Amino acid sequence: MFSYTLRRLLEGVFVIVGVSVVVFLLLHLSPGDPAQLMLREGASAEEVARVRTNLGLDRPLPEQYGTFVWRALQGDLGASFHYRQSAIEVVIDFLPETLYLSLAALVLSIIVSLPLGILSALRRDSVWDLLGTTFAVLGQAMPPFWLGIVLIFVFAVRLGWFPTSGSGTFSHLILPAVTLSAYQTALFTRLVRSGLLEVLGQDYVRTAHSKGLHQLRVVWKHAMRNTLIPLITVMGIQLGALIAGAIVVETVFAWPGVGRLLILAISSRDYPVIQAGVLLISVLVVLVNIVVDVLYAFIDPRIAYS
Amino acid sequence: MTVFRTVRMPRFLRRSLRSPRLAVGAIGLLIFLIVAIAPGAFTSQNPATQNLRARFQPPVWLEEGTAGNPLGTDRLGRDLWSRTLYASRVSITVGLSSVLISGLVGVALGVIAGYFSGLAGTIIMRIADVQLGIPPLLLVIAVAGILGPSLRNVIIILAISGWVIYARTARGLVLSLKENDFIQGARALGASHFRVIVKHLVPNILVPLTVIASQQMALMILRESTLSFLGIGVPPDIPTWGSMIADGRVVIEYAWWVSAIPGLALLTAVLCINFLGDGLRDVLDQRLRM
Repeated sequence: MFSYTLRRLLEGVFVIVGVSVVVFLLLHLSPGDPAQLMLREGASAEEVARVRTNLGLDRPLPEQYGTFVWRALQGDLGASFHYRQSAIEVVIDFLPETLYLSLAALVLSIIVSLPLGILSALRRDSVWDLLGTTFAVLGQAMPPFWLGIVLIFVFAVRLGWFPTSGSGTFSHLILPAVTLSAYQTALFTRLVRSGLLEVLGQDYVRTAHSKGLHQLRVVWKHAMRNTLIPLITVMGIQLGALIAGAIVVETVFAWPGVGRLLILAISSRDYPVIQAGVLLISVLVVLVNIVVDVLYAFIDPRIAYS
Repeated sequence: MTVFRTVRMPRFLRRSLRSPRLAVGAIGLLIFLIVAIAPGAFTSQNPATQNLRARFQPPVWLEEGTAGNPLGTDRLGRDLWSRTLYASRVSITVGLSSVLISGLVGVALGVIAGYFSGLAGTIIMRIADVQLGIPPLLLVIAVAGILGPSLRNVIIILAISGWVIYARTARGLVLSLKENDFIQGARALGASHFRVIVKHLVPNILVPLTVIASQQMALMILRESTLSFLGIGVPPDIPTWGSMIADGRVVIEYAWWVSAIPGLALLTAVLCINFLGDGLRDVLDQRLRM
């Protein structure tokens, strides 16, 4: 167990090193000279050269990468051009809103998908099953940004139940969370349904039934336990996907999180913030995945990691 | 004497007929392909022509709608029906070419990694691990945002975002195939590595990879429209479903159709391709069934 955790952590470190290379290279992908971008229009050649030296852009690439990592380890990715403040601090300021939205979406998708998946499996080929499978098919094909706009139109513009955008109160959270959770709800519903259908056909479930146990008890105590375990891994992995998906949903709903920050940073060419955003979100996702894997090993006694 | 033989359709066709999803998906995608190749055949309007006196015309079935603009017009009075038709070009082009490129590159790398499981294979799979650790959408948005709008960039970025799944699948399949007698036999008969790969391995892994490719195409179209929605995909003068939806976002309160119509087109396209993928999976490969 300990060695498994250690191995996963090492793999995680390896991925984060890879991420750091990508984030470092992002700056060099830019079509212009980063030094030029930091200065106002029409800066003299000497000024540009001075900024280049200050930023270390005249050094060889591997050396620049070394400096980048050394500074990143100290939490320094440069100052945001726009906010005049450490880029990492800016991103950390916006992070709680993104986590709040992503977690709300995860909770919502679990609350909806569990009963829907169970109902469609138990009442196979019924209205519930049709509802569940239609929902699963639609949810996985729906472009989230468009779903957001449709929800805004129906529930904010026409019915006036929720605000069209922004954040602050609980009612601000509903539409973005529903939008963000749609894909995951569809995915989980499908997985709960197929997982449960598989387990329901097995001998031990039939035995439980023949003992005269109540249907609900059989499903909850016997069948669901074995269905839920693999689902936990999927849900963990999907938390990472939700955090990334929030970038788009935040833009639709003007939700003040890292995603919207990132899009604004892209349009204002605020490279340190783009780099900090990509790095922090990736590191977060890697960490979440490691925690989920290790938890999975704890929960499922049948799995022995060597 | 005449010998009667029962005419049998190829097995693939017979099984396809039993999967309605495959039929619906294939016909739907075919329609989108035809529209993308010749959008002008279905409309007489130019998608770029502005008519400021006919801004925000509603679709024909609403009050004040006119048959001249059957699906209404946008904020510049451009015809939404023709724009939606022409926009399918970007989605289909980007979807097909990014799947083709990422599929070719991914399969090649995966076969190499599986067949010659040496240092090259380890490096390839390590890079794949790193890429899997970063949420693809995040990377696609960051890179596209920095490079700026361009059709070519979008295709390249999406191709790079998609190769890992082909590489991993191809490697896994090759690893299990290469221990088989027919591969060992071919080698023993003196076939070169290249011949073994091209003649014996690749044909045997194509079926599951085709299924993945069709599922990936839907994903690529969604990613392209996300980039265009955010204004960092294709240049703004080319109509795309994503950028049309973004146009409609601002005017949702009084002209819902501006974003509803391209959104429905996008949703239908993705649904058709998903159906095609699911149908192919059911028909071609029972093992991949979920």
